[in-house]
Amino acid sequence: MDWSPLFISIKTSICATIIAFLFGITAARLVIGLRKQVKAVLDVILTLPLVLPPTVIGFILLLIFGWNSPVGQLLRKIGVRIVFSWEATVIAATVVAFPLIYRTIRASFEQIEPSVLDAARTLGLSEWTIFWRIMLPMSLPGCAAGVVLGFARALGEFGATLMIAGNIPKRTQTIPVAIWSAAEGNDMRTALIWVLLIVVISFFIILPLNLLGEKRT
Amino acid sequence: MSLEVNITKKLAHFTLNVSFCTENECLGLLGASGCGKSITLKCIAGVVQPDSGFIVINGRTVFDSKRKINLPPQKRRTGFLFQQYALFPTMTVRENVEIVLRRFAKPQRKQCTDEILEKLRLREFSHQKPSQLSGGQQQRVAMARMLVSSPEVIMLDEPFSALDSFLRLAVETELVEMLSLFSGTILFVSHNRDEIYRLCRRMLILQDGTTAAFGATPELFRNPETLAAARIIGIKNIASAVVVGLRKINVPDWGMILETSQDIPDGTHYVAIRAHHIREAQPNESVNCFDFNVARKQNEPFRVQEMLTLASESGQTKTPLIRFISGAQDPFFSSQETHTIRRLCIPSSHLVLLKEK
Repeated sequence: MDWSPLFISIKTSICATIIAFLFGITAARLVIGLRKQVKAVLDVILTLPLVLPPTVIGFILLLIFGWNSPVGQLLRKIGVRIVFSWEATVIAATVVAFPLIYRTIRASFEQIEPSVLDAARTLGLSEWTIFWRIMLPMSLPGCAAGVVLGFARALGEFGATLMIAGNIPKRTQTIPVAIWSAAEGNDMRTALIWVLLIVVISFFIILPLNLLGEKRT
Repeated sequence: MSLEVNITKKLAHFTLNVSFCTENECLGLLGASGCGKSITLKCIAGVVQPDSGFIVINGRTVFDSKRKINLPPQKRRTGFLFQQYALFPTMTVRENVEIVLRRFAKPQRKQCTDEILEKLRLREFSHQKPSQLSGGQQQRVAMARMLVSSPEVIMLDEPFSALDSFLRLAVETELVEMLSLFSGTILFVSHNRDEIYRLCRRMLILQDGTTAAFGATPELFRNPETLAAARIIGIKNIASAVVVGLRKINVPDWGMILETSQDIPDGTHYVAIRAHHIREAQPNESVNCFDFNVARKQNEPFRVQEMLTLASESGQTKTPLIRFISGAQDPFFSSQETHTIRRLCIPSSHLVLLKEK
């Protein structure tokens, strides 16, 4: 049995979660400061990857990073190839994990009583201080929830990954891709092992989230 | 330390339009909930932007729509005590104060924090989180935090509304003590006329975003001048009236013509009398004395409330008058007294004459 999909999946999910978290928290902070109409439109755009079919995301990523696209050509000049590389699995996972992280963090920012932030402003604290010392600590549980959900989603990413990273064993074959690959080759035993493994991993990722929630209420 | 405000802002149900000047005093802003009091404070603090007008704190223009000046709240040096105190919940009491003093060096920060915590008797709580404190203690923390930010104006937004009623008086005493540490201008917002009466020498009465009255507090309680002001300071009996003589006024809703103790000013459209000013008539008294039916009687813990209608054929009362008699009564034995006829006097010296606006 080749265990490489497990390690690829874990590595990809960790990287994707970190990147999506950084983007997510930045986007959440930017969006809550915007005017209502702009906020509504931007929010829809940032949430789209959550609702679009993964194949659509894969297709769009191919359009962006493909050989003939401007970005692809630029990357080629500096000797980087995205399509069918391990980095592509990270990009696909990041894009699908991002909306979950962004939305969870934004919701926890919006839970903060506005008067707390207003009080901080009248006390002379800069917006930067307010963000780091007040908003972030107050929304720590929300951030944790976002990271967990994002990680679980990244771990389960299949469609977009297959389209942009392909199914190259030991390079881009993540657990979901390995399941599909094994099932297609009629190797039901291998597929079942991966299925059980991913169920167990997901279970133990989500569990602490609920226990944490229980404790707080 | 002076404050000059002249702002307008369109709100959902009315347009806020307030203007006042104040200097080194505690000015009360009295009005019903949702009349624009809190928004006014927020405009001064800079967390809400008015549509037009200007705000000058101590000669510094912090907002001016014409000159396009709009300082951020951080630069206005105003202290704002929020209804729910708005403490930083993840920080201890000490941290709540220290974060305000960030720009100072550590020893100075520590010393300053120690001083204010000592002054406001918060020393023993300094390592606790706000959620572990009582309402009164939380208010002291909010106050400490505000005082170390060295504001030029302090604004208190319904500071007692988050407290249980039996705590209020004690916290109010504390607040007065704390405010004595501050010598500048204080704006005190409340919908409770008693609080304003006790704490503020001058007050501004707001009604739907506009000033209904502005002046010395005791004077306004005696003579509120406008209908809106009379309602807000809590006069129970108010009725529209028609002037029929130099000192005579007809009140159709009560079914009576009343005499006044002074010449009736122009523009008088309403007449009012406080519920506790209606009294038993003296044996030979006749001015403003009428026979009343007690239509309904209600016992409150420390007073009795009577609903009065005229008993004589001469007039009909459309709106019953309310009379308070102080002193506790046993609710289960005094109920038979209703429907008795009683001769009462509406003293002309206590009649309040009101304008429309």
